[in-house]
Amino acid sequence: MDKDENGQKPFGLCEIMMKAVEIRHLYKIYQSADVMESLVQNLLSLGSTEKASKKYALEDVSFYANKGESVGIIGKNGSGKSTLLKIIGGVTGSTYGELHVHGKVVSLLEVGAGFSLLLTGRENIYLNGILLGLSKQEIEKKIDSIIEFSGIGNEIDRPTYQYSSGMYVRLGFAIAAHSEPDILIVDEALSVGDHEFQAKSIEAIEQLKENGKTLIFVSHDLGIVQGICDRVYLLEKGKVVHEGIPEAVVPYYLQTFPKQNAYSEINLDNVRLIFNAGNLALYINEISITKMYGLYCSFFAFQGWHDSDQASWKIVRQEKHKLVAHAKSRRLPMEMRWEVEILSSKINIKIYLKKKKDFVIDGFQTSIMLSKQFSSWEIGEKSGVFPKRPEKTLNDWQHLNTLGEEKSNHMSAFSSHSNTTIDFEHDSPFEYLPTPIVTSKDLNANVLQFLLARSSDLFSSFERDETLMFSGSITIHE
Amino acid sequence: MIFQINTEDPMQSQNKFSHHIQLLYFFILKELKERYKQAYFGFAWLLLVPLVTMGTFYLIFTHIFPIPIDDYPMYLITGLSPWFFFSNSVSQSVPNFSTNANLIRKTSFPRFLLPMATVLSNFITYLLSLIMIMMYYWSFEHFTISTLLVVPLSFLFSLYVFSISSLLSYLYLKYKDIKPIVELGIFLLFYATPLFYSLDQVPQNFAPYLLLNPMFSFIQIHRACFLQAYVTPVIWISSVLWMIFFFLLFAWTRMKMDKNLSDYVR
Repeated sequence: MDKDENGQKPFGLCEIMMKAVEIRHLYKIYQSADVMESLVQNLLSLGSTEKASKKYALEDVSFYANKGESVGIIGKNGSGKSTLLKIIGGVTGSTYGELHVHGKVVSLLEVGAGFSLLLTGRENIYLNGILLGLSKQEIEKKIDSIIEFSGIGNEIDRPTYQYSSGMYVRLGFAIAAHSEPDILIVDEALSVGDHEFQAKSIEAIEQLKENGKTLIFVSHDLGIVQGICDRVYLLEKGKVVHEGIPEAVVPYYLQTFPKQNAYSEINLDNVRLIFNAGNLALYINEISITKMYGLYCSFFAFQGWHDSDQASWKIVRQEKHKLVAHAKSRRLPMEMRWEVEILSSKINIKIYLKKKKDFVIDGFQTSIMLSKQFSSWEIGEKSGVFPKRPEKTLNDWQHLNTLGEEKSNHMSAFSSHSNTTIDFEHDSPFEYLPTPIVTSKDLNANVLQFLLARSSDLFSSFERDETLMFSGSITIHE
Repeated sequence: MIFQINTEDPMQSQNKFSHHIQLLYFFILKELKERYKQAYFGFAWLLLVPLVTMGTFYLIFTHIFPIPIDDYPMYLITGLSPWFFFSNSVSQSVPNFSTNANLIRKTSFPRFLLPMATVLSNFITYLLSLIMIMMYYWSFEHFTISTLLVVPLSFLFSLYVFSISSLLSYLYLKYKDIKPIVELGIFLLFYATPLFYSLDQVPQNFAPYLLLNPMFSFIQIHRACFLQAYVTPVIWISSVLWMIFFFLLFAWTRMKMDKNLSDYVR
């Protein structure tokens, strides 16, 4: 486990005043039979002392969020994230432990929960606003601004059963955003709605953050978690297994937590590869060379990049040193197959594509995200240093070999720290541009990328057969 | 050991109370609109249903099986209006928490406001029928002090109905048997209460057992307010005991289940 870079301080009396939420040694235990029993069973078993099995939803959880801080909670489904949020939000109680909440908690997991389908949008604003702690008079003052934020317009006086699911969520979010919370709990709510609304929601959340509100954030979108949170907790089976800055916790989670049962490891000598549903992490002597998404590929279509981890993966074949995995894209009508093989210090990678329908792919890239210690790069005659961060805005990825100055099917990165060189080369039939990249601050990685902009016939033609998109290798020299 | 300390509670207790009243108001509105909004007659059903039922009873028990009671229509309406208030509130409250599962799983508010809203939405019908009865008595100059006694009584009776209704809402989450038990119970109690017959018609040796019927004494007192009948001390005492019993049972169940209610809802 990584060391927490912040160095967590022990609880002190003066600090309690600054904490918006504080939880100490909290347990939540469900007694499964306690919940679902019939009256007859209960009467029959009055004498017996046998108790049903206990299920620990949360076990000895300690957690805090300072005032104005944004804290993320990540973990797999069933790890206890939502139970923790419910306890903070006061929806359910804990079995043992201490909970201190200072201020008004509003939870976006409540979005639309109180809606009555037969009431109009306007009536639902009142009902939900009051549920979120506003008074009727306060709602009257804000109602125009709520309606405007939701973008529902004249439909507001129609019953909500006529609303689309998008309108429903937008209205719910608009109410929550106007409810003046001190502590805002954000669950997956943001993943619903169109792009424009998502952008608006994130803007609203950042606005609250700027106003010194405390945010507690749960999302599977680790990019957003990294972008917004100051500190992250990682939960596993009801326990906090890791806590620290997102740059430390998120990569740890990404590389070690099996996703979709498509998790597998192959080893040879001191090289270990961890395939985790479209991300390939690379370890040498048990030290991680890659960061975040590791090796992954991405397709550009319909105005956006679609990464390999946004697919449903299945491991098709596993041998001692070889792995074949198959994926169905969740966003594009296509399937993918990866073949990964270790041959001593060389790792071969093949990526195949199969389109299910005709659609245009405008670009494709295969990348390795390296940790920052790989500080310099080399392509043929040209070489350079990865800057600390991109020159332009913080959100941009900066390409260092400005498009196609140097053409080669081979590039490398060097770490003076561990005296290691990574060679990344390909022998695919396409003209890939070798592109070293320094990523934005949230990912904080140096990337070696083979990029294919739209130039090839393959992208516009429709073939039902599998096509070899990328064939290449990674070689490690120590 | 469980601590929950809100040191900087943003709402003062006075504010909190008025906030809960506002919430209750919108819960009642929601309840009524969900029940009647799409109906052609709308809120008219609030009065149509009890009027038609009472009319039917009147026809049957004056023309088909005549019952020898003076002023039979008033005898019926003064007993049936609290009875319908009770039976409708109870049967609508049983699945209350389940139908509002989404609300309970995701938001925090005093849970008892939900059955309270159901009871109060039925109280409206009861109140309307009380007003009509009072107007009738007033116009015929039968109005006395004892008639006015019905005002405090109706509030105590509502509290009683609320205790039973919310107790059953809580219990139903844990024991699904509650629903058939309540349906059967209401059916049996209807015949075990002197609603369309009078206490005089009950055989002498059966009469004491009527005190075991939680509705018996309340209906008797309620009717006596209008019909100027004598109420025995036993009936007064039994009504108070029933009231205390159900209120304590409700308070105890609430204390046991309220905090983790969202775990029981599914």
